[in-house]
Amino acid sequence: MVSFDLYPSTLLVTVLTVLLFKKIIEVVGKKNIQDLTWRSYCQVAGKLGHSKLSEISNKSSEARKVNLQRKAVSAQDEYAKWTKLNRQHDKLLAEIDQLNQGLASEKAGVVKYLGLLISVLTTLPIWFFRLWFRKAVLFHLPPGYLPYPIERLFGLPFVVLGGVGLTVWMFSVNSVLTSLEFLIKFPFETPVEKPSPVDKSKVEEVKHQN
Amino acid sequence: MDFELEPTLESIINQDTLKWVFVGGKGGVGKTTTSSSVAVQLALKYPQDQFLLISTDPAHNLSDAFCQKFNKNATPVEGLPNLSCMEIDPEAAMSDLQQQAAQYNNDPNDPLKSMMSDLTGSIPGIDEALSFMEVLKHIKNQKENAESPDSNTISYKTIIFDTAPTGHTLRFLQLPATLEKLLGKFQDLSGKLGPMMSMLGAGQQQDVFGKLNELQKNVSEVNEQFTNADLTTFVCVCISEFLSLYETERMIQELMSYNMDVNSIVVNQLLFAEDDENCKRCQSRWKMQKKYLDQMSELYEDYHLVKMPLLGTEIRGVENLKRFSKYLLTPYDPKADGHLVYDIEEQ
Repeated sequence: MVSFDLYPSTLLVTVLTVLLFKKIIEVVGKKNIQDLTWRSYCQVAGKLGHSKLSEISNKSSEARKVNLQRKAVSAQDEYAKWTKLNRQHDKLLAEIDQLNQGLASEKAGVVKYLGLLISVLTTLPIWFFRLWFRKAVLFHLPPGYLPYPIERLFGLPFVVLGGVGLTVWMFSVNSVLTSLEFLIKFPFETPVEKPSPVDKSKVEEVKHQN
Repeated sequence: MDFELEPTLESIINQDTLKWVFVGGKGGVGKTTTSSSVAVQLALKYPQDQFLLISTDPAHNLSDAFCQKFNKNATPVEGLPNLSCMEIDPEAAMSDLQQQAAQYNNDPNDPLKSMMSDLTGSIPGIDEALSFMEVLKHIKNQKENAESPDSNTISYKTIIFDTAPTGHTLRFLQLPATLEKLLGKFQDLSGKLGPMMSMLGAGQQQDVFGKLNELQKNVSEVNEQFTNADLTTFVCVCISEFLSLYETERMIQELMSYNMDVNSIVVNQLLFAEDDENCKRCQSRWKMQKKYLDQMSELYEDYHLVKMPLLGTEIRGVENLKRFSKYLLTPYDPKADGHLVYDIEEQ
């Protein structure tokens, strides 16, 4: 049988880290992370010599340059120049679009693997710890310190009476993190207006006609 | 490369193989006048052949241009018997088609009843394709009708289209590939579901697919013709102002994306006010027009840029059109031809 054991303190910190990580991902949003990763993947891979990606980045920087030029030109005074820049811009955009379409499958792959990685890093360890260390005692309470039913509760599901197990630890870490998130986010939220009492004289009574 | 294309529509008039000429541009730039002029010149150049001028603009003005009432049947122009005109409202043709379908299929519980309209609503361009096919069918019918009573076959050498300002009638040209794919799917579907549908009592509706197949065949046929520069050309009409030029540029790009041949631009309503000392406004406006003309000749150096003057009155009636349209072939010279401006008789 494979044996895998950790000191209670290590276990405690590890679980805390994993839950914190999970919380951060939850707050930032999986989609944002995927988008960000795809963008940085594009940049890095483009520099490393991914031909399509470097082409796209070249083209889009060129398009940006052309757009700036076009904006600097007065359309009415230098119509020919402006239109030529317009044509160039449209052409570049069309080319970029086509290249991007070609990359769609690659993007889907990257996004999929990243999603999988995130799930593996967050969900899997928690379930593993829950299962593997279901009997591990993280803390001991002084005997008879709490009433029996509460001690029993702290020991859920499989911990000896008088000990505190992973389930309770995860629960408390999660609630602390949620409270922290709330405390940090709270000042930035748009305030809700205080409801004022309705002026009775301005309310018209709706008569039901039956 | 230092050769300039002549600033006339001569190449179009002389091109013997042309079957379709489209005239398009934004509203108010003189599309109808230009298309009538092109038609008149073609009819004058080839008196032995028949020509047909069609307006697909719901706001019909061919009748006004020729001072003669036209309808959806080809009617010869008085004073120019080898040119016929007709005014078709594609939308009306379309609703006719739908009405026909509704009459044909009067089972209220038929799930396929609304299929045709749903289909036409769901794919951009198919609407235009259908209405354009109706127009073409109508032209074909004209030919057949004309054949039987007179017993001399009327076949039009060239058909000139005065398109609606939106020019969207041609949007379907970008779609043959999409349609092909779609109809391929439908064919599969009808093959697979056919027996089931006939069990459901929808046997006669099988020909919805038949109709669509027919449509696809027609569209690709027409597409082939329209993208062939020997058979079809497009004449853009604009005025020498920023927005008009901008729209023209957009239109040319769009047409090029459909692989249509565009090689002529008619710049209308020019003032040629160099020697007009009395009219300051004309002079300054002509200065502005010249500014855009210069820009255009730089931009469209491989196009025929035809410059047409703004006249004193509206150009109406065959005789006036003949006079005006002459300058589509020989460049207008304000010094020598200045009398044209006031020559037009009011009708």
